[in-house]
Amino acid sequence: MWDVENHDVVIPLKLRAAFVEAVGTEWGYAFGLLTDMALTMPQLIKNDWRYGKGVKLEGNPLDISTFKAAYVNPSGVPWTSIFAKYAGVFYFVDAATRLGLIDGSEDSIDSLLRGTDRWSFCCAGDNILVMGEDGLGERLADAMPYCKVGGTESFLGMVAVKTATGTVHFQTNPVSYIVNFFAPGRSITDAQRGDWAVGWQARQAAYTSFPELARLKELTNSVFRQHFGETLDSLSARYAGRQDQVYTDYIDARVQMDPDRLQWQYTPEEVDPALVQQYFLTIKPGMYNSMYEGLIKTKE
Amino acid sequence: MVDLTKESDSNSKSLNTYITMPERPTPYEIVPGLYANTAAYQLFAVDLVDGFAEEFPTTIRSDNFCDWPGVPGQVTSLYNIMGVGHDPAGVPPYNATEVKLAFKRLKPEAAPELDDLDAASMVVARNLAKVMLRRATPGSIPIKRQTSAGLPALSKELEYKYRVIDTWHSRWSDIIVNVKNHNLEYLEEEYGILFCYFTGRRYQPDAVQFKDGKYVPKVRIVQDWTGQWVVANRELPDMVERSKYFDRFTCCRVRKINASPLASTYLCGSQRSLVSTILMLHILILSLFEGLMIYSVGHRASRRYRCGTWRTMMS
Repeated sequence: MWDVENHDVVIPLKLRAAFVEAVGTEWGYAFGLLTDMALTMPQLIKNDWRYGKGVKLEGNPLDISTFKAAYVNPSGVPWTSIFAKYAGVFYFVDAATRLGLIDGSEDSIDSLLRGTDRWSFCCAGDNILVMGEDGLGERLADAMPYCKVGGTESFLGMVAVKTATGTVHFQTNPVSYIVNFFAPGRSITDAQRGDWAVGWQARQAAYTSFPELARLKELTNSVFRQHFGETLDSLSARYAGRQDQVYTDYIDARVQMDPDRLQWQYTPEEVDPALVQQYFLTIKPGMYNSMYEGLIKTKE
Repeated sequence: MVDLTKESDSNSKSLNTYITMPERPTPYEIVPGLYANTAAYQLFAVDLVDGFAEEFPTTIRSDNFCDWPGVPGQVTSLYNIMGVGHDPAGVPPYNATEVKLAFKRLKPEAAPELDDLDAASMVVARNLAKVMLRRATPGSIPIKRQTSAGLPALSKELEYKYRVIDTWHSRWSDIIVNVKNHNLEYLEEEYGILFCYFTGRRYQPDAVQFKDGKYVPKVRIVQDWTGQWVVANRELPDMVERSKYFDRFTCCRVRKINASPLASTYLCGSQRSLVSTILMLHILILSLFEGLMIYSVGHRASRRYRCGTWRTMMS
């Protein structure tokens, strides 16, 4: 398992150019134009100094000639995750070409992405899982001049463990069980954070693939009670009781803990419709077909 | 001008607040009544980390696998005081070339060997993009009911979001033609559309390492307000209460993000099926405009502030 260091900021600019160019040729000029604009738009930046104030504008929203930002992969557009995956895949496809495992043609890339009988890989942006003979990952990593990659023990939050018989299993990471609850990106008061009490209860279903879950939960409850007089179970039960239903299905529970997983890990079809509707409204492709057609017409 | 909202009063207040609001760490509540910057949290976190390390020792092997049941050693992330970012927080990389130069100067071990693609890699990049795009399939769009916090002029009302989508849908042809022709002034005057990102932020804990008898955070390189690239200061400010374990705690990492409020959530395909990554370009269209909706709604609702805000900054 491999992790690309500083992924979003070290993506080569020419890689972005190649991607935008392909969007234009495969989907039409207007799509390429919009993609380019999305990746280079001006930016209003908030001051960063502690106790400071103010904003500054990089570029001019009314002047297309100033749309030259080189982020390279900005957040805030649907391309963010897709482009990150494209870059991650590129590093491995390029390395495979350099090592002579494929010839770099469209056919050979297509064949590789479908998985060969000798090796394959999965990519989730900066997180990459290589499956193949011993040492293959190291050889590929050494053939990547455009990024630095380092070995890591987890892939998408799952830890790979090897039993005494040599079998490899993936299990949920017990560290995530602790850290994602006590130090997630957002306070419980943040509008984008799901209900914390429901989240605590849902994680009991979401971490079942960790074999020592009961002991882990007991440890957490015990330390919490020692400091604050009651367990997290009882505290969350008091709050969750007035809140939403707690989902016990594995995928539902993980989405309930972190609704953003619908952004990058699961599709709405895999999740309980009521849960999707709780956090999202859904627009089906048919609802804006005429917009799509309007864009196609601008090709000429 | 298309009137999409009647929220002008609250929008104006939001925009004004945004421009003048002092920067300060966010009160970060872990469970009701327990704040990350308190000594109570630090004492609890130390006991939890110690208990965890004792019960579930790290068993990483040289081949990056764990022994069963296996635990990686990143639980020291709890030593980050969430909501208290390093100083300066650092602007996003408006120019990636500058970022690479900064890496080479301040953290050379993290700098890639080559900055940009050679001719052979460019061919591979083009072929890969074509292969992926040809396998793309449109999908549905999950749009968050809650918009990003901390941004000006954003409605959190679902009905308002529907109204925006419906209105733009009916005027789409005119908008897209003028985008294509780069009539940005027209789009601003007619629809209040401006193409511009707002930056938001989120916090991310780093694992803390024990070196030379003390806990040290990872080195983070950021750009300060004057444009200089610097190593971020991760010492805790005075607002964090001191406990007997205070010295092992550190500021958490701040990640700057560009916000696109109406559909800041979107479906991007499943990581389990890489080559079937869904490229929903039609969502891009929505997102592009809504990304600007942040600005345009605020701008539309606050024309009286025009001279005092972004127009002044651009001049």
